[in-house]
Amino acid sequence: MILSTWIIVAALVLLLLLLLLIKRESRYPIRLEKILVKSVIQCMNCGLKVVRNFENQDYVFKPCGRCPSCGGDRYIVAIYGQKIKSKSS
Amino acid sequence: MPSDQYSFWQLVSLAVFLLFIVVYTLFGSRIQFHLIMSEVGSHLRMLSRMRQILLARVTEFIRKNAKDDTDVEGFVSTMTDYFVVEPVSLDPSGVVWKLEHLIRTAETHLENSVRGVLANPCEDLVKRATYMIEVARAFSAIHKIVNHFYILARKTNNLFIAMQLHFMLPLIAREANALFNAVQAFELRIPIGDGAGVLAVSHLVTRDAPYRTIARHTICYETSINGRPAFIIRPKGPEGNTGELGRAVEHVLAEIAPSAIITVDAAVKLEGEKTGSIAIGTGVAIGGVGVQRFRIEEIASKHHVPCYAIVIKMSSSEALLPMNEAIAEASRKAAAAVERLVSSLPVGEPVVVVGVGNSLGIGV
Repeated sequence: MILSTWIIVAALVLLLLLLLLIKRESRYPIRLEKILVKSVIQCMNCGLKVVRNFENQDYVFKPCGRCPSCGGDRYIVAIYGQKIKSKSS
Repeated sequence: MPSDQYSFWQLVSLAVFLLFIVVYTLFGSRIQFHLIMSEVGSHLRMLSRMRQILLARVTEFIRKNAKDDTDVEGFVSTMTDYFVVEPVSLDPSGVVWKLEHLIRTAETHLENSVRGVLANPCEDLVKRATYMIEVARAFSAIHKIVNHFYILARKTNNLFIAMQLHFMLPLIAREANALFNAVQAFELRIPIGDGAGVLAVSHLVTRDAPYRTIARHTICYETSINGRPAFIIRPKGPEGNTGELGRAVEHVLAEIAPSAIITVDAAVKLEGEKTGSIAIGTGVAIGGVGVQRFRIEEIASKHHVPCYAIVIKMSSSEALLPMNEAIAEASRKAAAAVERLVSSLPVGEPVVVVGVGNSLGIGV
């Protein structure tokens, strides 16, 4: 009796596993990643760097006025994105 | 009696055992087929949902900038179904020129169509809308292909078609994810990873350096690197362009006899390689269908000019997503690698440096 009970239990477990394998949601989700974009502004004269959030119409090598430190020309030298890690993802 | 009970349960267990053997022998592949199709089906539903979101985003972007009387949904739908018929290659001689002609026609048609619906069709806006449509078109193509094989497997009850689709799911999901996220870069004109080569060669010129346009959407700076005259060729930015670099190199080689042609491009890394690592090699590093690479290889071999390639490694999804910090840093390292390579060439002899990639968000 013990052996046969185990066989039936094993069969039910296998059946349950089979049902669990039929997933409703995909294992490979496609989601919009939240990206924080930064613009790096640098003075061509003294090298002073300022990092700020990306603003609309920013582009790399866009002139950004005078340097507050030395009065040299400032440009955006890099724009890069950082992935924001959310708890849900 | 215990002995009777024992024999009863023995019979039950034997029956269950035999039932399992019979079920798995006769219906094992059918069960496997349904399990696979269930997973592929759930992925297909997700692809379908994401496609709708992506199309809605592209439509909304164009609607904001379109003329009042435009049927934007119809326009986007037509453009995402646009196709290019590959040239006949039974006689491969001359197929590159036919391919170049077709690609140019398709690009021009798409840009002109977008220009036609925009209220204020400035070059930057046209390029952004065009690339967004291209992304939506690529995503739709993935959805259509997965859908096609899913229905085909269902209709024919073919386990092997289902299995092939199932094996490809992780790779399909990767590509779809990259495309789905790429649209935000094109919408806001944020540089993408593929622009690393363009950014690298731009670090070799001063910000006030003059340039001239030598091919469609392609510019050339004349400067010097470590005492060698340098012709820096790159696509014009900050609007998204890949330029006609092959034609540009032909144009420059008609004027000078360089000691080397150096191409700097983003390259897809292998799993395990680090994003932003630099590698130097021989040849012409230009991706895409190969027309521009063909042009440079032709002219370089004709004039016996050595070709060197510097690549910045990244994954295929990183190439489409907004440029990350590692790639932005790597572009400076690539510029330093170009300078070191040029230092090994004869002093006084000119050199051609080509920045390959998409110039989105990278100004001149």
